[in-house]
Amino acid sequence: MKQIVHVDMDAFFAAVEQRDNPALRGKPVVIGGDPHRRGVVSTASYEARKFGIHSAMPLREAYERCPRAVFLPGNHAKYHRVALQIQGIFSNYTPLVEPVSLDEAFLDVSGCEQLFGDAVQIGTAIKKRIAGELGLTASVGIAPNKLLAKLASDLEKPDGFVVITREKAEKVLKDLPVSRLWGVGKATEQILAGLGVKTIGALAALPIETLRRLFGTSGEELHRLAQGIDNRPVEPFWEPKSVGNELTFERDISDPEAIRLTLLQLSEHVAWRLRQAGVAGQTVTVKFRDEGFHTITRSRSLPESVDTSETVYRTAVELWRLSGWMGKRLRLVGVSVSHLGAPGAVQMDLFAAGPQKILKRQELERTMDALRERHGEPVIRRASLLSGTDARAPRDPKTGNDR
Amino acid sequence: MHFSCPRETLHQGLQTVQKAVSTKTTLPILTGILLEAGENRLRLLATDLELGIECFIPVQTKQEGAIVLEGRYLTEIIRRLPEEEVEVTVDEEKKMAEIRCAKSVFRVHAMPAEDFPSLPENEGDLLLRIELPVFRQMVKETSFAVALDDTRPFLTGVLLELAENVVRMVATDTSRLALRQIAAGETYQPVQALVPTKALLEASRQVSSAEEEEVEITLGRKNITFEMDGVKIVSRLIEGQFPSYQQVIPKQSQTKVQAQRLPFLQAAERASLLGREGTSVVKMQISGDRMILSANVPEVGQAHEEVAIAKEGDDLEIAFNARFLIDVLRTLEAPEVLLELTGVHSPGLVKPVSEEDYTYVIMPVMVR
Repeated sequence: MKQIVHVDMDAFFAAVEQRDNPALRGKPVVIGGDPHRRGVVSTASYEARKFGIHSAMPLREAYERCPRAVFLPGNHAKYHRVALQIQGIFSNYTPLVEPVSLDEAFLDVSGCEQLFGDAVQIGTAIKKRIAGELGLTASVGIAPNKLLAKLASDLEKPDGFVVITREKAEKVLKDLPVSRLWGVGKATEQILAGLGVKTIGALAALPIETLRRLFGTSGEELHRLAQGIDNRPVEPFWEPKSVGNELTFERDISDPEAIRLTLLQLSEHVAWRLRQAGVAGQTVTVKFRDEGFHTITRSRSLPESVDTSETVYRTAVELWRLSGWMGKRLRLVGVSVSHLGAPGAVQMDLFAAGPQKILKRQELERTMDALRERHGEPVIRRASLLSGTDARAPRDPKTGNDR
Repeated sequence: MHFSCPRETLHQGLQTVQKAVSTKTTLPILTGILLEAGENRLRLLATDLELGIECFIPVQTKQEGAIVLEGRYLTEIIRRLPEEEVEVTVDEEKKMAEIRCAKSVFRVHAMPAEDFPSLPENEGDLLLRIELPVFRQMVKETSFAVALDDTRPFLTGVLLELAENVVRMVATDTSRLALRQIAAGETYQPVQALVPTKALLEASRQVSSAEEEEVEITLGRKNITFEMDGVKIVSRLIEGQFPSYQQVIPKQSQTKVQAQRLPFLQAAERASLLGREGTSVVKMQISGDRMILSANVPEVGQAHEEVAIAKEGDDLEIAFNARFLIDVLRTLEAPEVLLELTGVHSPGLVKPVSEEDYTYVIMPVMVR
């Protein structure tokens, strides 16, 4: 039987801030940005969670719930560095590490007993080292599969340590809401509720034929998960399917220049993240949402994979121009790059920049990256980004949600 | 209106005009084909307002008249009818057409001929006459290099240029450029026209009964017209400035490589198999009397190919998008090709050996 360890950092971004600034300890801390501007909570410290603040909640609402909370924009370069340190600890025990996000990972420690002891011993050791070496707490879940390990780490958060054995699985799952299962979203939840099925226990009791009829092949998967069976392997070479960022404006804007600058800023950020990850992508996608929440996306596949701001930006602007949304009032703008792979070759252009110029630009982007690496991402910007209009939110585009 | 003709004749006529039938339904009449029966001939016309094609076929006219029939249905019906006489009878009042052939009878709704747009008049002067096979070759050797995406419309067409005593076609997508010119017997006023690729392909697709048939090209301010053997093709010109291409054609080189075209082509095709269609990169190591073509696709594997060459000048290692090499090697017919290169970051030149009038410029890729 497999031994899976799920490690989930407690209020990761907020905890890092509290660790590095003693004045914040014991106080409600909300990462996400200025509460008087538009945006959502990225992470709330446990002190803030007491006020009902949770991630993905609008910042304004968080402020209403707890005006005295400390609101911080977040320093993602720093969180990234800490995440790498945590991964360093994991890699001491097993190469089978699947990072889910910056603050969460699965480890397959089956067969490591001879070296480091069983899963419980390894989980304990990891928890201890994260606390001792990094001054942070993690919740650890141990189980025979990913589904149960993840549920386990969540049961006694924060600073939890829960083992779910095959035998205990049914008891643990029985009363949990179906939404706790992988792949059960709002739609599935509603269909199940229509049958009077609200808990995993009730779902497990449904005949597999019923689920197959309702959901096709994914119904079979649902049936297995409800029994606590999950065969998905820990995939160590986890590669993101896409890298993207989006920005919700403080106020809806229609000024093409401001939108163009936003596309530039987002493209720079996305390209930087691609280079950080050592990948390049072949498809550039833009996303726009207007005042009425009508959303469109437009994509283009490029002849070669790209990781430079320049190309991502040029393509994004082109897609914007072709979308017919150029004069629209926008609420949200997003840029992403997908079809990722190893950075490949760059096709040179007969008429545009000569090779020297391309080389120079690559060198410039490398230098900018090095500076960002050393000082955190916002240290260096294109001059055209420095005079952003007021409507554009001053914070960095969010890089992801902390749970 | 009432006419009859062998199925094959009508089928060919429809094939000729079919590509100009609009596929968009914004103007329903444009999804139709105009049939106009005159004295023993039938005029067929289709247009999507960008491209218009007109042709005439011999028929037996029993009653003159004109009507528009839905292009897709008409073409499909005629295509599948048996090889016998087709009889078309139209009631213009009721807008109904009846198509009879052997034991088949179709009655289809029609649209009024008055609503169908006419082709723009030949407003310009005759630009040139060119033999159809020569014209066809020029189109074939250049049109593959146009840009396929419509973000830069001026690159989706082929530049037709007359300069002193040459006729030239040039196409580029900014990564590669194909140029074919022919010496003309006369001296021209310099003139340039940016022609939609579709129009050129349609014009060169026309089969002629006589191989010495010529294409007559008339250039207007907004339109270009190709006329040959009872077929007239009118196309809007593309607006915009074609890049000044002369400056990117290398004038000299440091490495000259001569190779058999077919082995080179086959090696390039095989080396590109591992990569994604259209984006494979082949590295070429040129040294001594051989050229090594290699491809490395990390998630798939590596390919290694060798081609015998005759080399003049420096050894060189350079990489190209395989597609761009394959395109030109497939198009050319000469048994041997010449590759002229100058360093890893400079444009390379591909041409048939002993042929000065064809030039293919290809920009390398920088491998990281």
